[in-house]
Amino acid sequence: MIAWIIIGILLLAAVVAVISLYLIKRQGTKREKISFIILLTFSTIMSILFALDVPLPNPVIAISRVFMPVGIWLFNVLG
Amino acid sequence: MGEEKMISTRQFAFLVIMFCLGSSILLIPAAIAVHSKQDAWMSAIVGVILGCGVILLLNMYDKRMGHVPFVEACQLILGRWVGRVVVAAFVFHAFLISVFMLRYLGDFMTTQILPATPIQAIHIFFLALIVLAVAYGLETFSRSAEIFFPWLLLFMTIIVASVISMISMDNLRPVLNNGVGPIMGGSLVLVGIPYMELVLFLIIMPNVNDANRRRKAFLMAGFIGGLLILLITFLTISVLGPYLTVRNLYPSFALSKKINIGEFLKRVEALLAITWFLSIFYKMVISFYTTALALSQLLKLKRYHSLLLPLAMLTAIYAIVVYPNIVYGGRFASTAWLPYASVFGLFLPALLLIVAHIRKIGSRSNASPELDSDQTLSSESNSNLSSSSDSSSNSSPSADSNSSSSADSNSDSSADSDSKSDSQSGSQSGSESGSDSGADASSNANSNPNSIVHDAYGEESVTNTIVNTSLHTSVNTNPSANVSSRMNSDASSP
Repeated sequence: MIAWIIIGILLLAAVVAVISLYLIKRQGTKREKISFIILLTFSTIMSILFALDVPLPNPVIAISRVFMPVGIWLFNVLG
Repeated sequence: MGEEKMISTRQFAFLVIMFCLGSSILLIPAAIAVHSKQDAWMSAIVGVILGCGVILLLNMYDKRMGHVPFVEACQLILGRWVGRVVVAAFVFHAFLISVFMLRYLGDFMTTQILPATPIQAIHIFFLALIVLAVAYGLETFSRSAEIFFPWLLLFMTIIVASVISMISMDNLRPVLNNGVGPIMGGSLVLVGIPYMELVLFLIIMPNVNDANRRRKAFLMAGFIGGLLILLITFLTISVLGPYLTVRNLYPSFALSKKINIGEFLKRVEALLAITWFLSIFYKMVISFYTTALALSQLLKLKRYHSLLLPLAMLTAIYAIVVYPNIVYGGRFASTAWLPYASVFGLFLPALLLIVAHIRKIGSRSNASPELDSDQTLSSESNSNLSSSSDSSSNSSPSADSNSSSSADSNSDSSADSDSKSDSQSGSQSGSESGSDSGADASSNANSNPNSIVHDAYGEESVTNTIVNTSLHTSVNTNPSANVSSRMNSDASSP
């Protein structure tokens, strides 16, 4: 099952790559191509990790660590 | 070449109103009422006033630096590297906001309308729509906002008119029972949720026609959006009463379910849902657009379109990852969101303004002088550096054929601009480069607004512990319960 999910993600990534690279080839630059490939690789890896139930870094938890105490303090002060 | 990517002040105002309503219209009444109970309508009034103060700050920034795309302006004001770091943080913030928007929509659909559908399916369909809209470009979705806005107003009018007979003033008493403190607390929620997020518009504002009228339009639109939120809050409190309002996850949706005129006109809550879909659609389009645009400008790409699909994949994943469950999301949005969003929504523009003032960057003159200065600058820059605008070559590819052709013609000159900006380093060239970039922006109306976006998501402030326990324990969409337990230990709700 997991294998199928990963194959599906890779297929999706391949479709995205084909479409986007076609468009980039028509009117884009090399810089665009490189950043697209890096970003797509990153997204695909994250998707696969997500499918494998690996806990991904969650920005909201980090933000909560820092800002939740501030918010609680603020709203307590105001009643 | 500039005209292709300009939007009119009216379209801009509609976008701002939609942005203010998106997510707030369903979630805000409960979030305010948690703090100020039956005085929530007073909180909303104070919140709108404070929010207009935030808009005034953004307008001050726009007056000074509005002729330069935002990403460029950051690097200009703060220096190249610090500016890049700030822009990267802004991109992250904009991304987070679009992720939250998507999740709010998914939560709403799975709890209220399509309970048996997996949330991912809803996310993916909605995201496909967003990507399509953003790929068509700023002009196109702004024009569509012009089409949809009257519908939104019509639906809201129908709902308000049908509810108005159910208002019971007893629900508003006792007035000021708990003093002023809770009212201020409630108003801060409102400031945090739509108003702190309006910073995203700094990226779009350089593309709005008429530098003077757009600031007025920004303020007016923010005010009108606030009034609509105030209206909904007032109706919710006065019809449902403060306790039901707090207990509902989506109190205004519950309100519209109560509509029953002569056993004939019933079940019109879909109208409110449509209103909400429309407004959250535009809010998410704007945040996704700013994410992609700011990222592409940070990477010095000419077009943002190649980034859309990979970003959409990331958004789809993170919409599931961000909240372990709807309860945690509500708590985050109602407590941690305001201080976090104010970093970008309040302190960042203030910092940019102060540093720009100290370094004497940007136009200080009021009224219309920007145009003059820009033009002089542009002529200067053109003569000096033949390269000024690569930004003009960013054409929305799919949307306008003419823009792409014009982009081609310019592309030679524009290609230089990167090197140009590189060569101008250091503070000494700061004012000069500022003028160049200003010239770029003015000469090519197209120039991509640099975007640093942050605030888009704080909408779901509604849920408090009560709500959560009663309604949604069964609804938690995410499997990762461990996160939620962690969160709970972190945060006791105020």
